[in-house]
Amino acid sequence: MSVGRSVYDRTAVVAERLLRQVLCFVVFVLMVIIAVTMFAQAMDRYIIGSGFSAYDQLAKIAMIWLAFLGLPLVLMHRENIAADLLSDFLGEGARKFRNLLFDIMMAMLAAVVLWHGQPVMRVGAFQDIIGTPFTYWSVYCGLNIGMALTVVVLVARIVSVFLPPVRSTRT
Amino acid sequence: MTGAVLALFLLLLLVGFDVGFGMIASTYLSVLTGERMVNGTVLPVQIVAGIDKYVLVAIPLFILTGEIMNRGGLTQRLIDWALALVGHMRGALAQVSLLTNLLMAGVSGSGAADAAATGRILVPAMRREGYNEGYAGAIIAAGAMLGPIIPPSVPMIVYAAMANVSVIRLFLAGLLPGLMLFAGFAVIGYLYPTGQAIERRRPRQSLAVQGKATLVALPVLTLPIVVLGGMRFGIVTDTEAAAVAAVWALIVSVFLSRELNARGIYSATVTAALSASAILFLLAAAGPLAWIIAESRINLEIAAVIAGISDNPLVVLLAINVLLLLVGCFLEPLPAMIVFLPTLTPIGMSLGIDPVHFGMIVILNLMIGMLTPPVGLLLFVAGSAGNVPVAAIIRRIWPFLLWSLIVLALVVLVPGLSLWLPGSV
Repeated sequence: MSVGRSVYDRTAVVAERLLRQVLCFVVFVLMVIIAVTMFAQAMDRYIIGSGFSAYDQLAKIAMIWLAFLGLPLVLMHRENIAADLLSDFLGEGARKFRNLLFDIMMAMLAAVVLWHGQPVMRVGAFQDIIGTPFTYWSVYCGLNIGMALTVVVLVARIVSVFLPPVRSTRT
Repeated sequence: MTGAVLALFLLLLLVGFDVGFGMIASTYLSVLTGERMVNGTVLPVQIVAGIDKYVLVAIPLFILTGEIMNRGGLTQRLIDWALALVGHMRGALAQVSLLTNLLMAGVSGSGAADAAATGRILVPAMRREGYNEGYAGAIIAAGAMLGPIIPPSVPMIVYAAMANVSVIRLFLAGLLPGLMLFAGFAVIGYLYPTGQAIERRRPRQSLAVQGKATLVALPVLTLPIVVLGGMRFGIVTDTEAAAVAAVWALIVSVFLSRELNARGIYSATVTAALSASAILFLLAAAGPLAWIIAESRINLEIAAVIAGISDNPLVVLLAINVLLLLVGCFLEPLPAMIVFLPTLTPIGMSLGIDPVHFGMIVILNLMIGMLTPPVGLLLFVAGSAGNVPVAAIIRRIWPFLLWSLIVLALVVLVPGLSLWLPGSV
């Protein structure tokens, strides 16, 4: 077995499993926050009457985080939305090459968004989200973390393509 | 230059590139050329602006509701109820499938989710009873098409957010066309099996059995009423209604049907989160492209060209319908709406069409596209869920497609079909 591949594979498998589990838990928590805040808003109006008015803002922040932190998970599962009209006409090799090219392009674009997202995050720190202790820093932070993780996931997938294939040790 | 940006986006779309990243790539090209005098920070700003809309919070919640229903055995309850009510009729399982989809549509709002849920259960059952497998897949696909037309509907929420239209008015506008589609499909289901299926006829169930089945399904049957009624009478907002639906489905699945444990809840929530993330990222990525289109005013130029085809508004509407049907054959409703709404909405306004009526025309066209061979998404989902070759489904889909086109023509020509209910309830 190729030593480089073996070490990379073992590390990658553990890291991917860990990242997948963490992201699954994070998106679960975000979904719960969205559901609970929206349900609580209705209950508050009729039963509790606390006067708290920022349930909608909290749910919106959680939804934005869900959109961006869910993206690497969506890509891991290859459940991203694409109009796949050509696959049936491509051979196995051509399809693999196309997928590799798409992964490289997506990783580069996510890196571009991440790069330009840094200054925007700093500016966002001066924009309050009314009714909450948060600023738009937290919203852009979600975007940047999501893009960074997307780059990590895609780069790992790209690297695995370029490593030599695993050779079975069995005869 | 904006034309080149749109051309690049369409090219990336056609070769199968991720739709969201395709929009970001096209916008970045425009930024790099320096034509717009802006730097790359427009990307993160407009990406966040694309989903910084409160109404979109309803999307993950309705998807969660549908997922909980599927995992919590609520779909099976609906099927059992439909079987008790219409199981004795000719083409019984076809009727059961349509009725179940009609009710599922009232909760989940996603056609693909409905097709996957009912297809897994009903296609094998239809096959066992001698139905042609292509016909079984076709009836599942046609029934699932009702999902985004009968409220609540994810595409309607997106249209409402993009066109600044009331969500509840759009929801109510979908009811009558949705019921017309259902009625036509049911008649096709009644007439079609003659000579096609060696069908086992069931005895008509007694009122007691029907009543018991209704009682068991009651918590699910009342869900659409709670959602729509709550919104219409101002008891809850659109997004609160979605949360109430999710909590309701959860309570029924955990405490009444007892088919959902903690692990199941976690798994259903994560699956729903994945679907919601894919849709929300698409909407976010559409932000920069929509900004470029608005800045360049190219949408208004295209709108002027289409509107200039004829002085007769009906001819222009016909052209829009043909365009949307073609688009719907290749693109899913959400990406199609994101790409074409900024151009088409001004045309609708210039023709004096009510935006709710126009919304129904757009959504109906795009949903019919999902049923249209060779690449209609619902054909593939139904085929995959029921393990039926798509070619077999395509051979049997034509009667359903024809009726859908008739309903579309009626909705276009008679605005009252979509505007009567929002205006009178």
